[in-house]
Amino acid sequence: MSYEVAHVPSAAHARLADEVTPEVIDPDAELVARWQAGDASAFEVLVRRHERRVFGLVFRMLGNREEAEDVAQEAFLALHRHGRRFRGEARFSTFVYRVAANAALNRRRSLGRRRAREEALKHRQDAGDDLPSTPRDPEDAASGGEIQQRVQAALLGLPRDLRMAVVLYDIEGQPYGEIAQVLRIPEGTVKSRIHRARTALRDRLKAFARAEDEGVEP
Amino acid sequence: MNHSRAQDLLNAHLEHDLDDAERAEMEAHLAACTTCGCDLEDLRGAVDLLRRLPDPEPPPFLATRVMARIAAGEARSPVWGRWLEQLGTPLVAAPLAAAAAALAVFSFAAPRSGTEIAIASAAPQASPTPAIVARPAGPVAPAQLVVTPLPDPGLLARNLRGASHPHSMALAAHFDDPVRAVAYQPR
Repeated sequence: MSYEVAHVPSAAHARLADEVTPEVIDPDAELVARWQAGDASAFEVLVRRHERRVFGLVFRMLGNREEAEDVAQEAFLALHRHGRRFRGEARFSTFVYRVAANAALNRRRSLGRRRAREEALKHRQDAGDDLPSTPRDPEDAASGGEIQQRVQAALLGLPRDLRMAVVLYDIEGQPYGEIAQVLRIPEGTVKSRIHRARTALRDRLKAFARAEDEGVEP
Repeated sequence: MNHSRAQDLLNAHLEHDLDDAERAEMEAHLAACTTCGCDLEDLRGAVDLLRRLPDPEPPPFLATRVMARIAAGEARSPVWGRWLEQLGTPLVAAPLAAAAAALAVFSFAAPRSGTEIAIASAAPQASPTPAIVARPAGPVAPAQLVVTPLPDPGLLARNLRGASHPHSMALAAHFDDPVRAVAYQPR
């Protein structure tokens, strides 16, 4: 039996109904059952099906493509390690997001130390030391958009709990109920975090947003 | 609606998350308050920028690499992790729960110091075999053993081993340990 790898569209453009109940038919259910019964190929299909959303989430949380790839791999390994405990209480995609969110949040701790080293390196370069420069992030280079970099930088400036909520809502397009399940917090807390995150982003991005509206350079 | 309340509800308004009465009040406030009107537009603009971020393309061989790492055994839990995972299975959980319960009983009942053992009296030392009486545990005190007469620790240990009280073996071990035996203080 073969399975098609379903493309999961950018959820911001295809927001699901806000109220998602566990009774909703899970499109991954059959694959999950096969994997839990020992079919390794079913897991590979699940990875391909969810790699875009996992990579997207961790990339927006970390802001670095190389780190995001590492964390995405770790997230899928963790999913394989713990996924047999999944009993269909929520959709499998929610479980995947939860594992990916945990991987990204845990990675931030070690990344913070690495960033500190990079900052120190940059200081030395600025001071004239003859040191190799850090390569530019390929994703930034590929996107080439200053505004996108500004938005990503503004995201990275948010506390991670606020960042996670707003990434899940506005970029991944997950409804409040799903986010509450992913982060294991009440829906009211989800809304409050999104509100605070958006307000902080508004203050940081308003000049760019206005310039975008008027079609001029900020 | 006052300005502060309107500021709090800007995001909910943007998300059409207000009830009819709140929405009407908000719209009335927005018509009169240019600050809130600008803030709402800036909020809308920031959200728009956020939602227009492109989907990053996942690395081309992400799934292949993940599957290779799984094949190499990197997704396996450490030994203690696998053991913990098995705790959920009835085959392991039931005997483990029984062992835990036994340990809990022992922890409460076994003497931690000599004061948990009551010595009834200093009966004539001529009596060669101490009598051991077990009393049921009270609401606070642990199981209480009454030993008559006061024996030497070695003798007590030997006789405890022959007693039928459920904690006698543990108590015997307690008195076999010379350090504990010295610390033993009858009351």
